[in-house]
Amino acid sequence: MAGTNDYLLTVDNLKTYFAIRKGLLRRTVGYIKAVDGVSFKVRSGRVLGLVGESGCGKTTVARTLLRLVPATAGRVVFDQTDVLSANKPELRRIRREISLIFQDPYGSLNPRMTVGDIVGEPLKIHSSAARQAVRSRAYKMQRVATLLSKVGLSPEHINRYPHEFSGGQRQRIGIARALVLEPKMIICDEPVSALDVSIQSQILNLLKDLQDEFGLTFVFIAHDLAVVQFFCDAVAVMYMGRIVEQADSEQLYQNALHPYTQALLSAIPQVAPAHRGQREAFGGEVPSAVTPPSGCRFHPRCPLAETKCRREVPPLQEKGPKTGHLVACWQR
Amino acid sequence: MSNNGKLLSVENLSTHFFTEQGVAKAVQNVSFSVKKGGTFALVGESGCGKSVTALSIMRLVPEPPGKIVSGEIIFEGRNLTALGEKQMRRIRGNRIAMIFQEPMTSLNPVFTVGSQIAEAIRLHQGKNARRAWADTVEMLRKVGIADPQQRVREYPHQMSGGMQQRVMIAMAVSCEPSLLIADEPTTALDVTIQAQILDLLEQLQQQNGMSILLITHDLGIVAERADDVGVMYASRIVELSEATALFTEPLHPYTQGLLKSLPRLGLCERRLPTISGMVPEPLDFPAGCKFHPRCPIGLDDKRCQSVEPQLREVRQGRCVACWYAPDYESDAEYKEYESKYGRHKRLSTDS
Repeated sequence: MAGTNDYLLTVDNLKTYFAIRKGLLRRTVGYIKAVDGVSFKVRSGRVLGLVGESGCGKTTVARTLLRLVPATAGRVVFDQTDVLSANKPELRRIRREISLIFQDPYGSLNPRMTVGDIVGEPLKIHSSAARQAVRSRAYKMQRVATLLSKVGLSPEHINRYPHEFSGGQRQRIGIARALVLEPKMIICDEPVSALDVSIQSQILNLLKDLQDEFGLTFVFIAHDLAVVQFFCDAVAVMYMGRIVEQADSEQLYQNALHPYTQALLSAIPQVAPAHRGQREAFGGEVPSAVTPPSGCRFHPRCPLAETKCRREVPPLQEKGPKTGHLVACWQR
Repeated sequence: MSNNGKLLSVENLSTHFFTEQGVAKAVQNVSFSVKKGGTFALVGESGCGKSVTALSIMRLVPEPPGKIVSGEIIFEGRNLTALGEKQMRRIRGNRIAMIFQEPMTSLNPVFTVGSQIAEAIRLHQGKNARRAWADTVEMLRKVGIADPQQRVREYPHQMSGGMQQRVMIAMAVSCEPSLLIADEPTTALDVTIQAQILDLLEQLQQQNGMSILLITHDLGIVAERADDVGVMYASRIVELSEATALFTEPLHPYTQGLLKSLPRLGLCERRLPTISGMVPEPLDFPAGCKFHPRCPIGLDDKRCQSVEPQLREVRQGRCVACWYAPDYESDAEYKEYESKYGRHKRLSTDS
C-alpha cells in the first residue's frame, strides 16, 4: 500500500450507466454510458479540475463519488475507505467529509430557510447522539457566524433569507454550508459559471484562500478552461464519459496533446485583441450518448482521425516517461 | 439613410420601470450608433440595462410598468419611438430581427421548427405556404443544419441547444433584416458550439451586409467579434470606443477592473485582481457616479460622490464617463506622468 496515503481520493475505472427503458413493461432497451471507465487520483491538499462540455459526464462522476447515483462498475477509495461498498455509517462519514458546492446559487438554497438554518443544517444532520450536547443551538449559531465572516459575509446576515442576497453572496452562503462540517474534500460543480464577471473573480479568490487556510482538497468541475487554469493543480479533460487527457495544469496548457483539448483551448474567446480572427472553427457537435461513435469517441469531429481511430478505443497512456501527462489518442 | 453609414443611432434613450417600490431607471441617457454592416457590442454585467436597451429598440418593453421616457431611436431614417404599433410590426422581425439567449424557451415546443420559420416568412414577405416552406428548407441549409429536408419537420426538443440556436438564427435572418439584435446568443451553449454560432453570424453578416447589435457579458467574445463597443454599468454607457482601442487601453476604471479580473489562459497569477462590492440595484443607485463605491479613484472623491459624469469624448472616437479619464489635449503630458507615477497616481493628483 506504499504511496496510497498521498492520495485522498482514488477513482479506478468508474462506470455509471443509465438504463433506457421503453414500452409498457419498461424493458431496458439500452444504456447511456454517462461515465465509461474514468480513473483519476487526487492528492491530499491539491485541486483537480474536471473539464468538458455539457453532457460529458463530469457532474455524473461527482454524483457517483458520493453515491448519489449508483455506480455500475469500478472502485472509488476515499481516505482508505471503499466508497462503493461502504455501509451506512461509513457512507455517512464519507458524506460528512466530502462537501458539495453547486452551480446555481438560486436553486441550491431553500428559500424558506434562514441563512443560519441553511448553513447550520449539516451540523444537525451529521451530529451523533454523543455530540448532540456539544452541538447545541448556541454552538451552532456561533459556528455559523464564524463561517459567515470567513466567506466574506457579516454575522448579522444569519437571520436573513436567501432572496435578500445577490448571486455572489448566495454562492458565499453555499460555500459556508460546505465548510461547516470541516470536510477534507470539497467538490465544486461549476461554482462560478452562473456569476457575473466581477463577482467570479471574488469567489475564485475566496475558494483559493479557504484552500490555503484549511488545506482542503478540491475536485473542481467546470467548462471554462481559463477558470480551471487559475484554480487547479491538475486537470482531466472529459469527452463523452471518458477522460481523454490528464496532466498537471502547466503541462496541459502549454502542451495540450489531445485534439479535443486543443480545440477546447482555441475555442475560448480571448480578450487579447491580437487574437482576432486567428481561431479555426471546430466542426460538428457532441454525438448522442445513446449511440456513441465506435473507437475513439472523438473521431467524427477530429481532424487527425484515421481508420484505426474509428475502430479501436485508444487507451489513456502516459506520454513520455514520468511526465504524468496522460492522453488517449492514437495519433499522439 | 444618409447619416454617415449609420444604420441605427440611439440618442439619449431612457427607459424606466414604474413599480410599486419606485421608479427603476433601467436605461439612462444611452447613446450609441451601429454602422452599416458592422458589429456593435453592448457589454455589461447582469442588470446593467443592456437587454432593456435591446427591447427598447424593438419596442418590446412591457408597458406598463416599463416606458421609454425620452430619447430617439433612428433606424433607416425613421424614429422608432414615434411609430405606432402597426408600423412597428412591419419593422420588427422584418427589418430588425432578434435572437435570444435561451433557444429552448424562445421556440414554441408544440410546432415543428419548419412551421415556425415559415410563419415568419409568410407574415413578413407575403409568400404563399409552399414558397415559404421551400425558403425555410433553404434557410436551414444556410445556417448549417444537415439534412434540412428532414429536420424541418422536427420539434425543438429533438434538437440540441446549438441546433436550436441555428433555427433561431434561421428564423431571424429569413427576412433578410438589416439589423440583427443578438442578446447573449451563445451564453447557454458550450464553447466549441459557441465558436460555431459566432462564425455563422459573421458569415451571414458578410453575405447579407447586415449589422449586428451584440449583447453579451463575455469580454472575450467582444474582443474577437465586435467593431465598436459600449460598456454599460448601472443603466449607463460608461465607455464607448472602437474595440481594439478599448482592449489595448481601457480608460474607465470599471472597464479596467473588468479586464483585469478575468482569468486568462497562459497567465498564472496567485490571486485575481477584483472589483470590490457588487453591482447596485436599479432602485438603489448610489448618488454621483454610480461606480464610485467600487472605484479605486472615486471612493473618496467628493466630485465622484455627488455629481454624475457625462459621457465625453477624450480621444479620437473614444468616449468615457469618468471625471478622471485622461483628457486628450493633455495626452503627451499624461503619458509622461504615467511613465513616472503610474496611472492612478496621476489621476489622483489631477483634482
